[in-house]
Amino acid sequence: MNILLIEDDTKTVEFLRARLEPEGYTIFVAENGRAGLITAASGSFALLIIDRLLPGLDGLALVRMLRGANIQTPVLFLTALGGIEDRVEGLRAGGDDYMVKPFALAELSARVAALIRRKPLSAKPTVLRIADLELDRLSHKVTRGGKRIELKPREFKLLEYLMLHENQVVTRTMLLEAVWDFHFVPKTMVLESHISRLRGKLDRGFSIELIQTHRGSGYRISSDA
Amino acid sequence: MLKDAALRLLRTSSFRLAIQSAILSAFGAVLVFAIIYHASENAVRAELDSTVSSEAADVISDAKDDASFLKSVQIATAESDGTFYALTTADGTEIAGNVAMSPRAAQRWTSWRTMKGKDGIKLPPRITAIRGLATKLSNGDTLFVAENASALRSLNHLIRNAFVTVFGVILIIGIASGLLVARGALKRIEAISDTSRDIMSGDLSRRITLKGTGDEFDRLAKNLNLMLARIQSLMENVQQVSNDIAHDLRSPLARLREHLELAGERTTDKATQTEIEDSIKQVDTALEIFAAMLRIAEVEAGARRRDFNIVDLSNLLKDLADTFETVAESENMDLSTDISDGLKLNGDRELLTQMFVNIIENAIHHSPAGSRIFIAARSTRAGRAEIVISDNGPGIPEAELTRVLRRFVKLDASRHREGTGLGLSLAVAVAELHNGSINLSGNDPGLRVAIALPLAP
Repeated sequence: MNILLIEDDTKTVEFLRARLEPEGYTIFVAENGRAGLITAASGSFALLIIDRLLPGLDGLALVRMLRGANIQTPVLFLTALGGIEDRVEGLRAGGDDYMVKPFALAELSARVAALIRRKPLSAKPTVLRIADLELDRLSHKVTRGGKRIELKPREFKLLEYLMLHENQVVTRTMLLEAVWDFHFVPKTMVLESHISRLRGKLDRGFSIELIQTHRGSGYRISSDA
Repeated sequence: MLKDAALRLLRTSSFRLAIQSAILSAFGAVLVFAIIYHASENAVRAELDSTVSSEAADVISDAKDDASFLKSVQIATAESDGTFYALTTADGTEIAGNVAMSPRAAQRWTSWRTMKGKDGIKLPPRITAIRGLATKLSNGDTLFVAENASALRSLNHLIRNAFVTVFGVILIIGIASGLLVARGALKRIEAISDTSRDIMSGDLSRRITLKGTGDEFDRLAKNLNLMLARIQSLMENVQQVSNDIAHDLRSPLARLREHLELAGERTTDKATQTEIEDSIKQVDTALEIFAAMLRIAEVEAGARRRDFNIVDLSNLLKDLADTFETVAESENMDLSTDISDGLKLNGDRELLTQMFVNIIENAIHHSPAGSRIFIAARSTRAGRAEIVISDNGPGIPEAELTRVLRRFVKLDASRHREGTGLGLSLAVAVAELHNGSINLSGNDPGLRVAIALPLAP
């Protein structure tokens, strides 16, 4: 799996390599915007990781050009700019995700995996299944072993997001952003209390726990415990 | 509205100045007219008086003895060409003369007097007043000699009328020019205060426009602009320095975090891993503080207003209440709501969310198990939404209520708890960005946070 990293800071490049190469990705590096644009347009990559601030050609302009040329490779922005404005601009320009430096390596792995395995909207099934758990995205009906489970709207969204990322570790930040649209670190156990509620409803009376905690990184839903 | 504008105009100092000068001019006019009045009346009267005096002297000198006074008066009356004569006894009964006079009038007339019809004298038509001398004769009778004083009276009238007219005109011109001057001045001042309002609401780059005439308003505006430029550069310096510190420290801290993480992955020693994890937590706390500082700076800069959208406040709050009901339950607290439907405002959804979350989390964070949290929202008559988030926890001492809204303030009770001490400061900045306000008060027991935000029109 090829990833193009467009980043001028050698330390960051080294840091990303140290994490991503052992996970089986092949990392290609472009050190400035122009070189990045040419490489991205010519090669075949599963993901582009692009720094917002680049010498030569700004990261935003670069992505706009790629999207203009109908190159739809997923883009993960890396940036030191943590403002709301910066994130909104990045996503508007055609970025798919946005990470503010510094980030935990587990966060990076999870987001990279999520972006690479992301299916186009049309390919997403309306009914998600894991083992005997079934979630209907249209009727909002959830059953396990044929038994109806009543979920509150946030619990449904949380389960849906986990199931869409089946067998992948999703981080706390990813969940807070996707399910609650919280782009900050809450002081209280927002996520933990919902996960424990959800577990209570899903796993009560069943031998297999579907939602697993990955210490220090996040959660994962899968049928193999 | 129109009445307000008029009142504002009347209250201006330039209008007061104009009125003062108009009153001074009017006072000058009074003085000038008093002098003219006095001088002209004196001149006319002196002429009258000398004629009367000589006529009276003639009548008296013509009489040889007491009995011939009557004769002398009768002759003078017969020969009179406009002069009035009268002779009365001591009790005022007229015994000769060409002017009819009541005894009362005769008794009141002593020495020099100007008499009018209403004083008890029967005057011929077209004569409005006479002026003359009353002389006590040696036999006890009184001799009256008078001249037509109509001219004197009409002169007085003329002068008085002219005076009233001039006085009125001066006052009207004074008030009118006062209003004109005040309006001009008010316009300039209003422009200055409009600009300063904009500047206070966050746009420090605004400047007062000069008219280019170089008048005192232009000079004032120029100096204010210079002052603003100076303040702006100082503010930018402070902003720059604190942002630079936050930013400059972020990079090495970020690196430190990267190195710690790599080191943690490379070691298999459990104790070292725990140490490293703790270190990363400390670094994260520092980074969180810097991120919060930069976020507040971003909000205070006011640039987010550009992206304001209609936000369904009722839905947003119900959503948050739903989420935090679960959180409160896991902390053995109870969260209830009373949120009106259909509250909408113009704002930044993400920032509003963070503001409400910060306040709700504060309530949960500082209250013991078993506490009750209450979220209420309604519209007020003033076109505002009032959102109240209250708890029945330990609350905040009265004296500390305003202090906790300031940056980095943590009360002793929570000094050792986690948190940046910036949560409420950010909430205040967000409320102010939306032209709203946050007010803290006691809830007997507990804390009551009231947020007022303008609703969308």
